[in-house]
Amino acid sequence: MKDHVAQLALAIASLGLKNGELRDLLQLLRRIPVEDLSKRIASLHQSSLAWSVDSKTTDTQIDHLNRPSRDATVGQRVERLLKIEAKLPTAVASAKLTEMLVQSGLIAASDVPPLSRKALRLWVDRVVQKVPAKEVLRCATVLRNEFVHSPGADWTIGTRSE
Amino acid sequence: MATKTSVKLAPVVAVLNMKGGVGKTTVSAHVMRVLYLSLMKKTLLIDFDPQFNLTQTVVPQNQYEKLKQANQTILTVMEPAPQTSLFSVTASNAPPPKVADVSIVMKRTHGGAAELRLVPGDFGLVKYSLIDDAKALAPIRARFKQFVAQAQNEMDLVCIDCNPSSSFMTVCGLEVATHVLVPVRPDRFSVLGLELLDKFISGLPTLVKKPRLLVLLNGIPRSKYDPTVENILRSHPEFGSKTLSNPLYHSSILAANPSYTGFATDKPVANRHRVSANVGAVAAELGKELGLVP
Repeated sequence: MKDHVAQLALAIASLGLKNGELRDLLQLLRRIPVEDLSKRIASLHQSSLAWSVDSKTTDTQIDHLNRPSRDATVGQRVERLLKIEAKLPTAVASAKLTEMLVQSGLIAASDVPPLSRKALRLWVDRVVQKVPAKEVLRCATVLRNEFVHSPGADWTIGTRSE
Repeated sequence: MATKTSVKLAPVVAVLNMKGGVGKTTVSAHVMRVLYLSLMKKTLLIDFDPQFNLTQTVVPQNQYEKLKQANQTILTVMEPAPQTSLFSVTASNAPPPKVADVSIVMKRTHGGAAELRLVPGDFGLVKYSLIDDAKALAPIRARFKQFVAQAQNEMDLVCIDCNPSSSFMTVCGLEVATHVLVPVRPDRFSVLGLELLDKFISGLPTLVKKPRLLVLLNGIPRSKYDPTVENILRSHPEFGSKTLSNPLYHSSILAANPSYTGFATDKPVANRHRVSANVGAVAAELGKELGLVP
C-alpha cells in the first residue's frame, strides 16, 4: 500500500496542484463511487491500447523523442572527474583542461571561453559548444587519471602496436 | 517507397563487438528507431545475425513465419533461391532483390518522408559459418555487397546488426561498412572485445578502406556505477576520441521482455520519456558522427 501512495503522489505531482486544489481533489475522490472510478480507469487503459495499436506503423507523435535529457551534462561529468575525483581547485582544473585541449589542437587558446566566477561545469558546457563533447571528456579523463591512482582493471586494453 | 532525403551515398553502420551480450541488438533496434524519426531519415536495418535477435525483438512470431514462408528474409539477399540444406549454397549471378521487396516497413512518418525498414534475419545464415569453401561463398558475398550498394542509393542510413564472431558474415558486414559502431558494457569482457575487433579490422586484408570505429558505452547504471572501464576507454590513445560522449544508460525498458515485441521507446510505460531522452541524445550524437546532420 505504501508504494501505491508513492505512485499516486507521483501522478499528482505531474498535475502541479496548489495545496487548496489538492484538498479539493482528495474530497472529490472520496465522493466518487469506486465502480465509477474503476470504469474510468478501464476506459483510459482501452484508449492507451488503441493508441499503441494505431501507432504500430505510423508515427504520430515525436515530441517525446525530442525532450531534453535530464541526465548529467558534460559539465557536470567533467566537474566530477576533476573536482571531486582528482580534487583539483576550479582554476587549476580549468587551466589544465584548457592546456590539454589547446595542445591537442582541438581549440585555439584565444577561442577558449573565460572561466569567470561561475562553476566549472558551466564553463565546461560553454567549451563543449566549441569542442566535441567526447574530446572534452577524453581530455578530462586523461587529466583525472594523472591525479587519481586507482588500482585499475585486472584485464585492460592495449594499443594496436602491443 | 519514398525517395531519400540526400543524394549522397548513405553511411553503412555495422553494429559489432567480438564479445556477445554487449547490446548490439538494443542499439540496432532502439537507437535506430529514435534516430530515423528524430532526424527524419530513411533507415534500413539488416538483421545479419543467425540468432536473429533483432527480428525477434521487433517482429511478432506469427508475422515472421509468414515472412519466412514468402522468403522475405536476409537469406534471399544472399542467395536467389535459398536452399533448405545447411551445407549447400545456390551460386548464381542473378541480381539481389530490391530493398522494398525484401524489407518490411516497421515505422513510417505521415506522408512517408522518413521510414524505418527491416530486412528480417534468418537462422539459415548459420550455413555460411559451416561452409569452408571460399570459392563457393564468393558469389554470396558479391550479392550481399550489391544489395547494400543499392540500399545506399535508396536510403539515408543502413544499419547492419552483425554477429559476434570472426565469421564469413562478419567479414561481409565489415567490407560494406563505412562505420563500425561498437557497443561496450562497463565490464572487462566487452572492452576486450573492442580491442579484438580493432585488431581484426586492421589485419583484415580484404578491407580496402577501413571503416571508422565509433564506441558506445552501453548499460551504464544510473547509481552505484564503477567507472573503471569508462576511464580506461576515454583515456585510451586510440579509443578515447572514438567513444561517444553520451552513454546509453541501463534501463529495464530497453531489455528484452518476453511479453513485449516492438521498440522499447514505444512501450506505454511510466519511465519511457526518460529512456527516450537518453536514446535521443545518443541518436543525435551518432547522427552527427555519421554526417547525417550538419
